[in-house]
Amino acid sequence: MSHFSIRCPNCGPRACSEFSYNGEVRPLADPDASEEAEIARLWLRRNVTGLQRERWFHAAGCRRFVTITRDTRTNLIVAQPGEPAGDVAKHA
Amino acid sequence: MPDLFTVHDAAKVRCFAPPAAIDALATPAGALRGRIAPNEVVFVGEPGTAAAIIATCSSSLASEGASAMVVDHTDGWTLFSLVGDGAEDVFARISMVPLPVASGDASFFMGRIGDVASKAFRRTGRIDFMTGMETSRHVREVLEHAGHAVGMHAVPTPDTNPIGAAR
Amino acid sequence: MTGIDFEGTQVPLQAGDTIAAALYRSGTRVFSRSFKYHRPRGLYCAAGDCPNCLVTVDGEVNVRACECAAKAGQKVSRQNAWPSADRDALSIIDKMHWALPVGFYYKAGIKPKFAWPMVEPFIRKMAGLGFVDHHDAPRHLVRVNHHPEVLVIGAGVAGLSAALAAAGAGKSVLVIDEKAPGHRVAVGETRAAIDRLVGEVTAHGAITTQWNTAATGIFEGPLVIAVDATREETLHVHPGAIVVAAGGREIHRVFRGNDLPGVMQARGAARLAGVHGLKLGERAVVWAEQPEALAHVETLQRAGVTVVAVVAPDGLDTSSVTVEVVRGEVTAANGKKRLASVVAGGRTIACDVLAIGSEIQGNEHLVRLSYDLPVVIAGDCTGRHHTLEEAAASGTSAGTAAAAGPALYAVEPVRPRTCGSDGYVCLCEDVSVKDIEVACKEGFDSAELLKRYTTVTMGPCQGRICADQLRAVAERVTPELAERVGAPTTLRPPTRPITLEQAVAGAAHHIERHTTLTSKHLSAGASMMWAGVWKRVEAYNGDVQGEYAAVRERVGVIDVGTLGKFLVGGKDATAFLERLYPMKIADLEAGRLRYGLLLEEGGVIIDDGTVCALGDGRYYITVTTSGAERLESWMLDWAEAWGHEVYVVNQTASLGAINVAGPQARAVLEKLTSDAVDRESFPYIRHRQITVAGVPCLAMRLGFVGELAYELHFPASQAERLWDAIIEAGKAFDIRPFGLMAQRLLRLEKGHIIVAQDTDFETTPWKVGMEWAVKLDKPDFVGKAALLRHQKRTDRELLVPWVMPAGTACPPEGTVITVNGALSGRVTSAWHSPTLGHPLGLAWVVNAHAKDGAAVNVGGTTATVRVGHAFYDPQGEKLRA
Repeated sequence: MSHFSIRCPNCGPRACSEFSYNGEVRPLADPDASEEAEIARLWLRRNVTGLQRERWFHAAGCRRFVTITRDTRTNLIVAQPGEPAGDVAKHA
Repeated sequence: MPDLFTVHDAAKVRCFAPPAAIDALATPAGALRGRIAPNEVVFVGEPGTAAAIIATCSSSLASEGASAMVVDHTDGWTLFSLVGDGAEDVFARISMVPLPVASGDASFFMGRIGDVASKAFRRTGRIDFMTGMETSRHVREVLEHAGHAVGMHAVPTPDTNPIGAAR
Repeated sequence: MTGIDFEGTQVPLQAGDTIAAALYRSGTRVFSRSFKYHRPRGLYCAAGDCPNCLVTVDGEVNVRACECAAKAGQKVSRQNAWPSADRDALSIIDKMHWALPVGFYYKAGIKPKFAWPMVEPFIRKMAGLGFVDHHDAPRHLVRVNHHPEVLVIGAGVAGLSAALAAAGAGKSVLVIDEKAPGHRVAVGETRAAIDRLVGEVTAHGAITTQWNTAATGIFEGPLVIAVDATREETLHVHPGAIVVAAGGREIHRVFRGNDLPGVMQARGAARLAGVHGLKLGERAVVWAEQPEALAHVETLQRAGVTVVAVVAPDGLDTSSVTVEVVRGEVTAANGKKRLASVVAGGRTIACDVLAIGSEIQGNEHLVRLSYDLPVVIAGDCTGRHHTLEEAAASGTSAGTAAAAGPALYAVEPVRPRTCGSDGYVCLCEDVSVKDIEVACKEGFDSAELLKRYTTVTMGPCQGRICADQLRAVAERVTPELAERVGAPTTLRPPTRPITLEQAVAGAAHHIERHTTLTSKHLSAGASMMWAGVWKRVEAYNGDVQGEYAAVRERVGVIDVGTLGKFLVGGKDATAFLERLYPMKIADLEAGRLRYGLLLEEGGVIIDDGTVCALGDGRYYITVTTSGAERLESWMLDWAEAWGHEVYVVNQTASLGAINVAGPQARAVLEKLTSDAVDRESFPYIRHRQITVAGVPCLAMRLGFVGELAYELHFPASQAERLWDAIIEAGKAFDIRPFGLMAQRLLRLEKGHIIVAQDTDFETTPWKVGMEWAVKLDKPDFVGKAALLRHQKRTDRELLVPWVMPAGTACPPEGTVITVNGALSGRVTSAWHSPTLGHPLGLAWVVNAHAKDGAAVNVGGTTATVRVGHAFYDPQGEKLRA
């Protein structure tokens, strides 16, 4: 089981087991998209090997969401709230 | 030898409002303050003080209109208090959350304690944490098992100021 | 009793003895019989690495005698031998290597087929070492969390120096050692250095120590798990940085006879002689392959052993010793059950002790587990012997580095120089050089295959003794494949043996959530069942039929306190809910409520519940018991996505809920409230604030079970008071509490669905005939676009009600439905209706058969689909009473 730390903006660093995983960040529906594109948006995931922007819900703490960028190969979190998203490019 | 007692009717009032309004919201006298999120703060007070806290907060936030919500969340919580030497040793046996530094003012923190989501306060000489009543039996068992090894004693709830917040 | 009871004999103790020391002093030389061939084995490493001294102590199996402190009254016995380790009848196996070659169980006893069931139990009985008492109840150990900024593993000179350096740099430090510091070191310069450092460390305010605590693994986090056998606790340490100063050990030398009792590693011999004062034998040979080993000569002599020779390679400066030096290597050891002589440098030297002072390698297992975690190594652990000064310097720089921040260090395994043509590579599993040769020839010519086939490195030592020899053996038996055959195998935690009790310390089981009424339910004879993460009443005294009858004919009461409950506010609350739900919200006036579905973006039903408009733009929402946890985050996620100012307060546990249902429900309620609850004042599908038995309640009129019903929501602490009052007031009407089983039957007679029982991951409202719950004329709501797409298609299957003739047996839920032999669907809910007198239920069937009156085959019986007719009270008169 993974055991890395996520820095919750409200509570500070906590074990990832305190959070429930809400999946990779997906765009909201685009009303002009084709049906195929919409079905892909709904059901398919990129499932990246590498940097992934994703959401976690701090179920055992403040019960708010946090969006982070994590390297799915190493669980290294390269960007968290309060850090400029530009860091992502540095690690890519 | 740390002591353990429980408080079943601690006042608990949750206030929601835009972040700036929460920043400006003064802590009612005799209550502990817990900033849960930018738009939410919780006040924990001695039993029987909920109505007063609600009144104070509602009037302070009246100008926010529908953007503010003050909720009496007193019911359904169990507050566990670990008091005295060794409170940290018990805590280390029921949670992997790192304790904030102890000081005179209560440090508020949240995380998994006794296997369930908890809201907690740390002050010099004591640690208090609140969990939902629906799991309090489990948390009690975890506490007693953990506390046994470090000489924790269950004691009756103090008659006055059990939260230790009243001034 | 002043000694230990060793297989029925009293063995005296001296202060500070380990069990091995006490036994050795009283003459024991054979400590165990090897796993496979039952070869006699004596003390070898005396450091807790090899399997030779595993004994049973006071019923606990596989205890290392060389590490376990001896205490008066202990019962100690050796393992894996019959009738005794000294005269083991099973040692006959050692003469039958031809019958039991490596991997023999893959080759022998499997043909003819009937042979294996006879052979296997015999082999199983022979496998394993000690016998476990299956009646021992497991203890629940405590898990202790620590958060030092620096964790130091190992309290030797390097480790203690590292701790002082890290603390000096301002960090909080925890030092652990698997035993007490210096326990393996004889009195002398090193011991004095350790004692002095321990004093400094103990006096330092920022350093905490815990002895007899063995680190067993370094995990992501970083998290270090350590076990403290003396306190029955498992430590979970969450450090910022880690210093591993776990020391080193001599490499295991392989040559013919290398597993004879009397052959020891030199550090082990020095410990037994120096710390415990044991005269190990009459004549000893010291094989010194590096300078440290020469110091052990004097240690042995001081314990009364005559050192007859030192075997050393050319180039090693032996001027410090006065004993005869033989240049070369030990190539063989001779003896029957005990060492009698060694062959070295072309000569045969008579001796009964051989102390092998081979090259030092680091105890790097913890480090190898840690991959890219912030771990620093110090002292012998880095892979070579350190003098006192070198160890202190290494520790100091490691502690400073750890304090400065995460650093990554790689460790190289030591390459052993040579390997004999014979001898035991793996002491634990009795794998010899010849076995590895054979296995390679059979095609198992890579390290991982070799390991699995021969079981080398898979025994109690987990490779501590043997793993590094694979490379040397490979170079001997198959030089062209040496790199592949001798590659390091995957190392896994734990790095020291732990019990299952230690492994699960602090792990949480399924936590049961209970409403405050559970004890009342139990005293009334309730059996409880899981509903999501809650325990709810299944039935009282098993009388489902009686509970059902009460609700249909008189009045019943059920604890529904587990329902998900949310207070929703904020300036965008109305707009938010309007966009979240498929039904209309904005037109709900204060006092009105609406039942609705919750859909996800694909149009699939994920939950259902009610929305009560409280006025002031606030709402009170209920969802199913199992949905509550998930739906809070669901709502917050959407609010964030839409940028709505919405506040959600989860009141699932802070409010209790009780549903009073049945024709007499109003009569009961009127006895407890002065608020108007008559039909005109409080119609169906409304909510009111009323006070019942002095408890302030939000009351809702709903119709899940098909009768006149009032659902009361109130502060959880008032539950018992309210429940008692209702039961008391209901006595006149013979009120009965009812549980989930009865509730499910009642709702089934109304054809009401239960999400996740009657629906699945593809179920849209169209498929269950709930078009009425969807308002497509709303501008937007979650799932609208998908539902519009679905509308254009014909659904492959639909959920329909069905009935069977009276007198037929009710089919179990899940029964497959066929029509003319072709698969059509399955039953999702089924029950025999007492009121209607026949089985009925809900089922998925193929579209073509989802027509009123269609006949389908349900597990061999014909059922009729009934679309458009509710089973019970089709006009809903009872609901609206």
